[in-house]
Amino acid sequence: MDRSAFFLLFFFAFLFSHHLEGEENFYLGIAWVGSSEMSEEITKGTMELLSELVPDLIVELQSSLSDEKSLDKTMNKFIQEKDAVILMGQAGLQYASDHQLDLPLFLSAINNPVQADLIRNIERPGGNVTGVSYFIDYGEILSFIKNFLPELDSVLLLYEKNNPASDADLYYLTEACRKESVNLYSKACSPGLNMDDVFKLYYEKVDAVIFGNQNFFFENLEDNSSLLLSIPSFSLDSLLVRRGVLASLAPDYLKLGRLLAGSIIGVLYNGKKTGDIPFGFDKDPRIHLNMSTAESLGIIVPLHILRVAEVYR
Amino acid sequence: MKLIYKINLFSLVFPALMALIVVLTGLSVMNRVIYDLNRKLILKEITNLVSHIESDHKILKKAGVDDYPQYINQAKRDFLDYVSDKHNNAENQLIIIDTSIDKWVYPGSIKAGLLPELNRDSFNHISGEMDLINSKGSFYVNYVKIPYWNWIIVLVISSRDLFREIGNYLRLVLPLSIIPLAAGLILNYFSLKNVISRINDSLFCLKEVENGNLQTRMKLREPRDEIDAVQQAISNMISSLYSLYTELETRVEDRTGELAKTNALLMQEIRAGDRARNEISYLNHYLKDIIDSMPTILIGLNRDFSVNTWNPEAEKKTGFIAGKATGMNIFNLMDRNSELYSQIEIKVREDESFSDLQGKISIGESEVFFGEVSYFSLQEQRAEMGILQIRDITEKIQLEDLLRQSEKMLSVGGLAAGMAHEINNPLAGMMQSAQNIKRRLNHDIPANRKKAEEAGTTLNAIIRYSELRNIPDMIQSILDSGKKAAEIVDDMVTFSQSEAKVSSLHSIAAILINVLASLKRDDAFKAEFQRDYFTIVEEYTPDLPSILCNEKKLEQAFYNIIRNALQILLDSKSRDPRIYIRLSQGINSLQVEIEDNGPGMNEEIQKRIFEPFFSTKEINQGKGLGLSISYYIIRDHHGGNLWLEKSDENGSLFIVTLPISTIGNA
Repeated sequence: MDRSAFFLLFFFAFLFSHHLEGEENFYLGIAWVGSSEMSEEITKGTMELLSELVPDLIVELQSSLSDEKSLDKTMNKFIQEKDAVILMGQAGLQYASDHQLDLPLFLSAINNPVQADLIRNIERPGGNVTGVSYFIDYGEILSFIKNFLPELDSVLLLYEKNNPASDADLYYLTEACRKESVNLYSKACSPGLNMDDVFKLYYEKVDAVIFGNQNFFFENLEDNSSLLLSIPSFSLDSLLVRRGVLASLAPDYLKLGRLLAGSIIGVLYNGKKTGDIPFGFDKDPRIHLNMSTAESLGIIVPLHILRVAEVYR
Repeated sequence: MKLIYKINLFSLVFPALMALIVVLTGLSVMNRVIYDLNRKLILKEITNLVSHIESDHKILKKAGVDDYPQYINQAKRDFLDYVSDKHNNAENQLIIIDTSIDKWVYPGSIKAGLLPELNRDSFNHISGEMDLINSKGSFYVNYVKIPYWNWIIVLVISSRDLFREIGNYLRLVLPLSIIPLAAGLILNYFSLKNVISRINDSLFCLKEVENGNLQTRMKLREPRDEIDAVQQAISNMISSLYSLYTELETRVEDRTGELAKTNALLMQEIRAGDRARNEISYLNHYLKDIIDSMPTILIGLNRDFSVNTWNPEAEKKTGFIAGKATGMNIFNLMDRNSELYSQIEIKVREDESFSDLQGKISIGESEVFFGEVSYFSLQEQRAEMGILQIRDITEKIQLEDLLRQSEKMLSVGGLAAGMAHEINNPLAGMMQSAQNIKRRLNHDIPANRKKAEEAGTTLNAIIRYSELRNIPDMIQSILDSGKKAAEIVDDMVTFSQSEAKVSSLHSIAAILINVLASLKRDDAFKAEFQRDYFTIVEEYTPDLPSILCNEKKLEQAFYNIIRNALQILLDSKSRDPRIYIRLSQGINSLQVEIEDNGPGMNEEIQKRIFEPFFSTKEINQGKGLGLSISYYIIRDHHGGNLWLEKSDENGSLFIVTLPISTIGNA
């Protein structure tokens, strides 16, 4: 309900600003493919800061586009009309990889862009591209898991099959496990895969399960599934904690949205080069905790985790 | 008490005692402040510890595990780690008692030996503070119970530690206060002894001066301090005083001589001033006397048009005394409807001088009178603006009118008399001829008949013809008119007669009685007198002298005046017509007043009442000669006077004066 109201307000703000503002205003386009709560949250954070700091910026939002063709069509229009564009999600990352754009392009709701070969340097992306990423260092994630499981020896990574973002998860977790001497198991998931079978297969084989940061799991994981009570599970998205995952270490999407707004203002209003602006990450991710799951698993949550965590039951 | 003791007392002992009192009071206050401060610090510390526990308890409660022993124990361990790190160096000592087992969980047994023995029964309330004295010493204790963890958090501090700072201050301050005090006293005594000795020398010398010995001196040395400087100054002062004294004696003698001269000059000036004041006083009185003596109204005006001077003539004329009029606005005192008001107001308001403005005016409670008004603006700018002078010229105007009337009457009378002489002869010829024509037509005269026959006709025929043509009537008309003209001419001749044809002495009262008798027989008034329509009031002073006069002429004069009055009363149809006739004696004259209560005459008529041929009646009803004849008879024939004294809605009053001749009196 809140989200609907926000987008309705946004739509009217767009209409009014489009008719009232003069030629000197900047025009910004936002687009993503498919439904994505993460994109919506990031856009909300971005718009909050933009409307406060640069109220004359005229924004056109094309959300939940049906497919990549619609994105191409929208982008053709944006290239003609806009001064800058925000592209969200994997489709946006793919578009940026496939096209060399003259106008500033801001990417968000994507995994690590270096791993995707879009850029080589996080601090200085180069070209006409920058943005924000939900990527969190897997070393931190392993340290986080050890708060719950001090004797951590092995983990299982579940990721979505054929999702380019999964590659980053697999790559960086592998690196982290190697450093921490933790055995890594991985399993590609796709629609039709029976998750119970996977959990049974790895029960007593791994100490913990990590869900990759793909929308796939949010759409396919049942609430408070019994399988989540057999092996301690962790995710990179707080939404899954509400579904029964033990804990998550996830970026604050509103914070990412505000970081993105800062980059846009730097380029459009302060004259900075897009490629000189570092890619943004949430360096202080938030902890979400499901105490019911913890009790069921018999895990005693350290007090220092409880002090900073958002707790669900 | 000697000065040295006083100085020592006030400069050292008292300040030292005060300083001691201040130090002790300060220490006492500080003692209390430090005690309170330490207590507050302990309270704050225990509050911090409890809030730390409560914070963790809330977290556990929020997570729903606040009653899980694993989580509680974890939180307790965290807290004990925290206090063991943080509380090691504190002055006070933390004690944590687990009430479930009634044992100390903090601190360890080594420190516990120095602390008072406390158990869960030592604390009755959920939190509190208390002073504790036992074999191990005196302690201050503050505690809070943590029921959800079964803990009692206790902070203990020994009284020695609580007041340790005070002892440090005392040990430092007291020696520091006493040593300088003693040293100061000793130094002061010796230094003041020398000072007092020199002051006494100075005092002795000053006492000598006080006793009149200005030649006394004290032993001086090179000035090294303030007292030396004071002694030097005193010595110089005594020398100067001696010099001044001798010089002053000389000067006093000189000044005394000068003062005597100055006094003499001053006396002369005082006398001159007295003379000037007397002169000014005399001039003031003289000026007031002039103003008061002026027969005209003098009114002094201020610039706000208020009255500042109001002379006696003004009081007399206006009925306002000076005290009442002074300060009033002059324009409020004047009748705004009077003839001169607006002209006076305009000019006075503009402070413009003017003179001899004539016209009717009324001021204060006065009647309207003819005034001659002048205004003199004062030259110098001051509060007083000018003087308004008003002269009553009513009598003058009346006299002028009378003079003009007399001159006019004289010239008209002369003219009429001249005409009468010139008309008289032709009139006599005309009358004679008319009489002859009448006689020539008389049938009884033979000569007439003879001449008719000679003319070839008869006298009867001529008579008949003349009768047919109304000739006898015409002749009679000529004769009648001629007779009237003759009478007029006869009256007009009266004007030219400068003096009466005096025959003998006559009583005026008798003449007046005769006149009234004649009037009662007059056809014009006979009927009215018979029905007592008129009331004639006769008031004759008895035993008046007779006067030398022409009886008939005077009768005619009075007849005309009284007849005129009767005619006015008759014409006005008055309801109670009255005529007063008064006869009295004046200075060398007799005075007759004839007054009626008729409607009076207007001003125009009053002016012309004595003019010959002036009549208010219609043509043929009067000749207009009656009063003018009376006027000439009385004035020209008898040297008397006749005037209209008044005439208004209450009636008219004629006054006749006739001189009393010496012959008559004799």
